[in-house]
Amino acid sequence: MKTVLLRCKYIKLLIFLSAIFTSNYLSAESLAIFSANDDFKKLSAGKAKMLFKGKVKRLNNQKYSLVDWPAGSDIKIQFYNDLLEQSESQINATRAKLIFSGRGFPPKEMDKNNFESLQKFLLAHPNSIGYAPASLISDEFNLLFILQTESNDEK
Amino acid sequence: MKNNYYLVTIPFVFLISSNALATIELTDDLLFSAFGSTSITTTDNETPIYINREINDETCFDCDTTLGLQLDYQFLNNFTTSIQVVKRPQDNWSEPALEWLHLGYSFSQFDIKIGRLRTPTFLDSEYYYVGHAYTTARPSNEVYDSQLGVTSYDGLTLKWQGELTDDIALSVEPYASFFGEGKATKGPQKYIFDIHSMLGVKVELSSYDYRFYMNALRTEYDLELQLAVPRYTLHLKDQAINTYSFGGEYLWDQLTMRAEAYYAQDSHFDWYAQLSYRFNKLSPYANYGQMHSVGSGRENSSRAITAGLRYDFTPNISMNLEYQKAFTENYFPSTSGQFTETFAPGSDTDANIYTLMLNFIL
Repeated sequence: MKTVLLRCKYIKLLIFLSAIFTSNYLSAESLAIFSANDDFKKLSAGKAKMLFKGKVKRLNNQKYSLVDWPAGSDIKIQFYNDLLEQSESQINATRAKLIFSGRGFPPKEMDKNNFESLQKFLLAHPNSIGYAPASLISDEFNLLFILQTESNDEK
Repeated sequence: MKNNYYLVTIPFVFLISSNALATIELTDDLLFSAFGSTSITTTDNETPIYINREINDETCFDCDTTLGLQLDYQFLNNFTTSIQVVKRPQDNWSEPALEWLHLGYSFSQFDIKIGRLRTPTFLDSEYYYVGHAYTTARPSNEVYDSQLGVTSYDGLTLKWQGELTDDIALSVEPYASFFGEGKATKGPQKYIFDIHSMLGVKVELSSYDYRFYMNALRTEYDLELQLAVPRYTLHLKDQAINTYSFGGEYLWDQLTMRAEAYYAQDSHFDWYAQLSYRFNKLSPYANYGQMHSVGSGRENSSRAITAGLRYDFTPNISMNLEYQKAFTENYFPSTSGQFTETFAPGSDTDANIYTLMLNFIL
């Protein structure tokens, strides 16, 4: 019985610490734009903004598609706030303009709110471009742009 | 009609808790999406106002009701096809309009589309019926009603889109039509256009925080004008009109500034300017617009001021609470500015318009 109680306490402590860790992590860590396609060149800040505003037809003369984190997720909200200073509502309005102009498909939205599924998807679809906390992105990906946050400078 | 009202309101219930841009990806290459708007609106003038909406002094629950369904399909890597069916404000539910049905091919920096296409005359033309995509309850009537609500054409377009720098894009889009029929209704008057040819070009310069455009269009047509009082049909053969529109939008932090103007040669000049500011989910806005008749020797004009609030409940649902004051000058007795019927002698030529509108995208 004691062991069970101890385990419960331990689990609660872990949940508490991971919650603290996650919230700090999201506000302090830089997000980065990346792809599995090595042919894509590094993006300037302007180009990154144009890309996620749907204003770039081809990237380095190649077709590409964008990938979003799930709607309402912290990373998605932070990403568009850091990159374009826009809320999710504003981004949806922008995307609605593109879709209802018949100008193409919106970004693929991930089902799961975790990096592993995004990573898998990008590896399976090399012309897709996604974003994630920079520290999670391994060397097997092409890092296209690191976003500026309040706690670090644009790189 | 009231039962059908639920066709628009029911989707709101399902969307209340959703944040997603809830297009439905039926497969990786097949996308279903929908949009809609509905309002409660009234004026204090018995003469109806605004083309295709006909708002008067009775509380109206379906003057703005719109529901659109769209299916997009991409295939063979570079081909796309899209169909959009819209129950526009002027349509009965049983007779929605086929707003577009086109086949597209994309290569290098070019897009070719052929079929029924949306006329790209203005900033918001391509998503004219999608109320959620723009800030005000309705696109500025002074400019957007200037083509009598005709929004599509049968023809083809070739669009080139390139990048001048990393953050400046340029697009050039010639478009043409050599047949087709356009229908418009302004109160008791019906216009039927038999298009002989339509040649236009739109040039747009844009970045992530602005876009500016110019559009020029020449249309040659026969016009059948059906008047109700006195009952009479006028046939005008081999007509031609040159029209020009230009405008832009600039985002500065949370402030959005935009203005557009439209000139129809020897007919009318219309423009508006608009400001809106976003405080999280709430966006107050103000708009001023004018219409002027030109070339007729009469100094007719109509103007309107608009003040409103837009509130985004979720990224997919928004609401507008809007007040407009429309003025007309020197229109009596032949035409009536933004009003769709001539004024009865002694009637008021101004109107206060109140609107509560709900928009969604699915």
